[in-house]
Amino acid sequence: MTEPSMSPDYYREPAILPLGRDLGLIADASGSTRGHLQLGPNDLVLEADHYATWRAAHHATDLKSGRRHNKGDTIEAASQAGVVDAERILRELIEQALIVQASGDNAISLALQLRAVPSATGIGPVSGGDGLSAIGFGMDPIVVIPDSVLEVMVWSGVELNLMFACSRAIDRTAVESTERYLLDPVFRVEEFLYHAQDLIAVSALWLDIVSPRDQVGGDQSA
Amino acid sequence: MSDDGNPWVLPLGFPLGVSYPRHKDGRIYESVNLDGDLREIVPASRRAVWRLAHGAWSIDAGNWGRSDVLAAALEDGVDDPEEALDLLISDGFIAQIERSDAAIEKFASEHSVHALLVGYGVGAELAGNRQMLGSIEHGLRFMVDRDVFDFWTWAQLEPDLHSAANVLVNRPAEITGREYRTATDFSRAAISIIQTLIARGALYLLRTSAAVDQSPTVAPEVRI
Repeated sequence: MTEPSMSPDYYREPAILPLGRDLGLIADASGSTRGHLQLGPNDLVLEADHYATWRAAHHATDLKSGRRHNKGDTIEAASQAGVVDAERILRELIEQALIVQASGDNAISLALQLRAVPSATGIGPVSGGDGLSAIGFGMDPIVVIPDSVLEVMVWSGVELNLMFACSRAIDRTAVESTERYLLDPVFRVEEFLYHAQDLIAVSALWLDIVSPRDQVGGDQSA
Repeated sequence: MSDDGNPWVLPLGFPLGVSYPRHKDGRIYESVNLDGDLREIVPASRRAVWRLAHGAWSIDAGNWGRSDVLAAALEDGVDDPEEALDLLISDGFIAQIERSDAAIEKFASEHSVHALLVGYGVGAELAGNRQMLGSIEHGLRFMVDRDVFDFWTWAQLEPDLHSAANVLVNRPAEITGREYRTATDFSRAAISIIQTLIARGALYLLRTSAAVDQSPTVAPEVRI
């Protein structure tokens, strides 16, 4: 493992994270389209501008600066996609909890309220990239993440919430690693949320809410 | 020709790819999150058969069974694929399901489905009978029938396939394009749907907690 770098910006400016799984567009008889999402046990239909703004929140880190995609970036991206009054629509999406803002201040709270659901699988370690693994579809890599983030992602699909997934990762880390920072649950949650934006941007992950139904669910990790 | 003597085979677990985490001894292996643990498939013949059990070679044919996977393995030059397949089944990496109602019911009650990829829905350019799945940012997309999309969307919310069948069998035919008489009929059809989705990398299967002897995870104490 190499110690991951997390931009100090993470602690200054909240990163934008969309919630829900994209089910795509619904076309009506007139040919106009709306967006279709799944969140918890519900499916939601968003008007075109709201869907476009929600999609605009799926954006990776700025590779040059390491800066997270934030509120201003989302408004700009939505406006470029043709959304009028993107600022108001983004505010509404945040109020509806279809978009959250993540920072060091609320990371644990989010980890207790959210499930991180993989929508891509592991490919394997990156050749020459110590401590990095590729995530992708089939055999095609689409994003590279630290092994410590993958360890959480491995469990996030079957655990009740992100906090439990971090717990599972820490249990395993305790056996295999001597890096003490990897045993800190707060660090693991913050690190995962830091990289979640990159995973969400390429549809390798989506964030779901923890619903009462999940709490009595019967997946293999129960 | 009857398929009665050709049981379905389905891979289990969340794939983590080759050689993760790294082995100090340099062995190549597949790592799979299965039954609440990270497990490895090391021998080359078993790795090859496990990959073939995902059926990507069989997208057009679909509905593959044991003999089809073995034939594909022989064609690929895999050593003793029958032994490899039997070991993968006994180790829990592959489920083998006889084509009887009782076997289907048992399988359905012991396994849960987990969707991968995202939906494209129905674009204006598409006819209404099919929907798209894929990855928007990477140009990966493929069309599936409405019943497959409906299953991909909703089955993962249920704790096991048996529960999913009992819920989804009642979905309106005008949405799914299909009608089933019973939940068992649905589960039988669902195996073909699952194969279609697994072959496209759009789904994986896990055993349920009822089928796995496993103690619960305890959340860590957090001091803020």
